[in-house]
Amino acid sequence: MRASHFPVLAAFAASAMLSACATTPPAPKDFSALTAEKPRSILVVPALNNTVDVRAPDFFVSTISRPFAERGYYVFPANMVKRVLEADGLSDAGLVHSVDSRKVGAAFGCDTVLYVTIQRWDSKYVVLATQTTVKFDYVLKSCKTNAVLWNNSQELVYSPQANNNSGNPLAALIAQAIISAMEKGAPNFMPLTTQANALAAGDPVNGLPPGPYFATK
Amino acid sequence: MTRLKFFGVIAVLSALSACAPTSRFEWGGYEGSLFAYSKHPEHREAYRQSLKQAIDAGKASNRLAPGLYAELGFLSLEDGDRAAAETFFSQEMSAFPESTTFLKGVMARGTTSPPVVQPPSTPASPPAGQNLDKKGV
Repeated sequence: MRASHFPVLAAFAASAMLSACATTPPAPKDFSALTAEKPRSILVVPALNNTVDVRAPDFFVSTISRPFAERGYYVFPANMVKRVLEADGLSDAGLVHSVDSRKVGAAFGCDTVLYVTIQRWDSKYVVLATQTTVKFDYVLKSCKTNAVLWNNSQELVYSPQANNNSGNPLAALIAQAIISAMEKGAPNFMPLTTQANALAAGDPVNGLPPGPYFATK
Repeated sequence: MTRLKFFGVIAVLSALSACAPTSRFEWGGYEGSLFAYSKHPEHREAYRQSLKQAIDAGKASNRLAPGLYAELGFLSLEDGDRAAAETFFSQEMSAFPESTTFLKGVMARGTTSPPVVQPPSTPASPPAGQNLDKKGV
């Protein structure tokens, strides 16, 4: 009777090990500079656009505040910051990205500056499906030292046709749910972008370490 | 790799849906309405209403999200309503003192102009923050 539990336990152990192998995370990055500095606030400057879609940064701005604020930081009003920079003739993101973070800190009173670069933002027709790709690089710099305190990168691909053909009924069901969720938001870029930002900020290994407003419960 | 990312998306989606009621801050329709406003300027009033609703809900649950009062105040400033802007900015500053230098700087300049951030190519000038201090922040 008791012995019959063993194969089950063994199977559990084996599957746990297998799944651990499949998702071996990359080595955690060193965030000691950030934890030592204990920043309270993040100024998000307009994203640098390395894609051909000129409107990508305008759409991106609505998705960046929430995931980083939820990590427990004061995130400056992203759209206001963007407009205010534009009003002063600093609408060129490349120019703003090249300014020393200490100068930005002196002007805005922020502890850190988040520089996002949009590397990919495209939708391609591949065989029978549309494949949508976004890729962002995130660099958080100190306004005290101009040093990089944290960085991350996210690339997400959405391809409904491919995900349907897994042969696994559960996976197909989940895929279908994702597809219908994504089709609700008219352009596929936005849910992908929201998820990329959530992964970048909230990933347990390389996400942003919690700040002073982080929920303790 | 794509498959891995796909499962990552599922994980985040389920984590997000699980976390939705215990989100640290109340955002209401902020993201969607700002996206609509970015795409179509005629959605400005809808964006303003959505900010107000998120602020009210956030105050009621003690989960006021950072930046919302400032964004609302900035809409007023763009409208030329300095008094309303000042009121909203004060609310932002009392909830989040981190915003003080920026918001006082914007008000002190009397326009929607920002604190000056000098591009690196321009000749040496005093640190940008000093301009603000002289304006009696």
